[in-house]
Amino acid sequence: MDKELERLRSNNKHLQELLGNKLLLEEQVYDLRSRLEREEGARSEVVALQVQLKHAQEEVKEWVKVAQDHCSPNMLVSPLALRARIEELLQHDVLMASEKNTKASESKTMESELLDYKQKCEIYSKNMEELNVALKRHKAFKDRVQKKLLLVSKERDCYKQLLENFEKDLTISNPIAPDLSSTENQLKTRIEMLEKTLVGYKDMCASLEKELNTAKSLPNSDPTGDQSSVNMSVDANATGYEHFKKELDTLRMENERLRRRKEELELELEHRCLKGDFNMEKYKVVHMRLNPANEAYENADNLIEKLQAEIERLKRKNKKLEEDNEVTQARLNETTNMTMNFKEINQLRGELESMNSKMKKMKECYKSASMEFREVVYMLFGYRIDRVGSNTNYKISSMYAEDPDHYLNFRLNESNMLDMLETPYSATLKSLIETQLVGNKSLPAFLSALTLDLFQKATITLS
Amino acid sequence: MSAQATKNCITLKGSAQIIAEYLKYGINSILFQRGIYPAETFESTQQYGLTILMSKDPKIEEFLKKVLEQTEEWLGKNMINKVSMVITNAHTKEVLECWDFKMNAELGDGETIDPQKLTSSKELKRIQNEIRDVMRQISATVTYLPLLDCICTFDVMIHTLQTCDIPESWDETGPAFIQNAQAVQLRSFSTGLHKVDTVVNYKMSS
Repeated sequence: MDKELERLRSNNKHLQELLGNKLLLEEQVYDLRSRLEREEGARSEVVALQVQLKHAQEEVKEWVKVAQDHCSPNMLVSPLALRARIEELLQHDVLMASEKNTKASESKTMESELLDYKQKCEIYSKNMEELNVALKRHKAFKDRVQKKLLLVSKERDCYKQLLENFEKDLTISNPIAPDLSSTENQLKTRIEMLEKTLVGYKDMCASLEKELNTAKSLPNSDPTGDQSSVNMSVDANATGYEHFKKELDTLRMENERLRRRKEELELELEHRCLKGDFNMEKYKVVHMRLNPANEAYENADNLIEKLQAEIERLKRKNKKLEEDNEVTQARLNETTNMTMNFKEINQLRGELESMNSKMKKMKECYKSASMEFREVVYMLFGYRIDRVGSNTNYKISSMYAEDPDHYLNFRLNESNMLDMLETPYSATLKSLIETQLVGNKSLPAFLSALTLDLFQKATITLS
Repeated sequence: MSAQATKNCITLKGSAQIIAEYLKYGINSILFQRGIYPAETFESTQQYGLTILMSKDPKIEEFLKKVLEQTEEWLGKNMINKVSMVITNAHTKEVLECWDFKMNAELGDGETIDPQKLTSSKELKRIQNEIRDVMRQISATVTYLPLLDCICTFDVMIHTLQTCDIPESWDETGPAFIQNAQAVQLRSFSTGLHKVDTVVNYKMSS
């Protein structure tokens, strides 16, 4: 049993160890798997990088090739070299550009020169033509002169012959006795000679007539041509038009040239005027540092500053004065209000006075009217009505009363009815009150009865 | 003076002196004629057979003295192209008038051609007569020059060669420009060594 237990225990322990190992191994497997995954990822990245590297290398090769193409063959190919090369090229480019500009300007100047030369050439050619024309004229003149010379020489020959003939005649006529044959011979020879000269004259005449005809047949429109220069005028006529045309052209050209020059000069003149006819390169302008102008400028500036300060000061003063003015204005306004009040008061006082006087007049008027009214009532009805106090009490005393204390008292009640109040006199009139007031219920009847009664009493006492 | 003086011989220095004197009287005359300063600050003197008004203002006298001394020195070396008297508006600094005295060197008629020893035998009387004519013309310009109806001031500017040394208290400045300018050339005079052209440039009053 014990052994069994020991075995089982060891077995158990072994199993537990195995379990632990298994767990460890599992852990390891997991770790390795994750590592494998990472490795795989890295590998794919490596592949991508290799591809990129390949591309880059190819590109670099291309660049190197480009550099090699552009660098000198025995130089090391490097980016620096390439850059140097590019800079060189740029510089070259700049140089070329400047050269191009200079060339362009040169070509321009050349063109202008060419133009000048062309103009000159034209002028020369024109000159030449003119000279040719002159030459032709001279030739024609020469021809004419030669012809004339010919004519003159012919004439001279003629005259010579004539002279000779005369001389011969003289020598013939000297011997006074010549034989007939000799005279005949002489005459014959003379006739022959004269005939010869005649033929000569005829020839000359014919040739001259011919010339005249040819001259006439040509249109003779040259105004300068006179008879002696028919040939020349014809020549001039033929060439004159062209000649004038050319002259006109040259004049036109010259005109243009002069105009251009004039414009240039005008431009320069303007320029010089603007510049104050001042040559900056050759001269400089100097002046004293302390000159009246500077002083004047400073004075002017100072003056302006001073004036501005004064303006500021005066503005302030003005403002202040304006403010003060406003205050005084306000005060003034108040006083005017007061004076207005005074006026009003005076006016009102005057009005009041006039009103008062009016009222007084009215009162007097009413008083007299009421007095008159009361007198009239007294005279008509025989009773004096006096209002006693402020109440609606009326004291009635008769015209015929025996005593001034004999009076009646009435009062106007709320319903506008007269109540008779008791007086010492009314107490003596008990019977009249009974019959007239209580019986007839009439105050006028009562009063009339009383009046009649008193009248009768008075007349009785009188009588 | 020695025997040479009887030959009526003007040296370069003498010529410069004559011209400086002309400038003194000319500038003063212009100052008076153009009314740059009040008339009461001028007093009359006799010169060239004319009555010329000269400024009494000590400041102007001092300024002109200094300027003309320097001018004379430079003229003696032929370093001046022209002397300009510029009249400007004192407030706006606008140039209204510019009197140019242009100096042209001449060779004279002496035996030598050494530029420092040139001489001229022109009579002083003749030169002064020529100057008198110019002065008369200056006085006459008042009739056609536009009225200067503002407070004006003046400055003297000397156009010298670039190589000329500038003394202390002198400054370089720019030339005076006049907008819409009209120029009138007056007579010239010559000492035989210098020919002086007087030109007045003024602003057209449009």
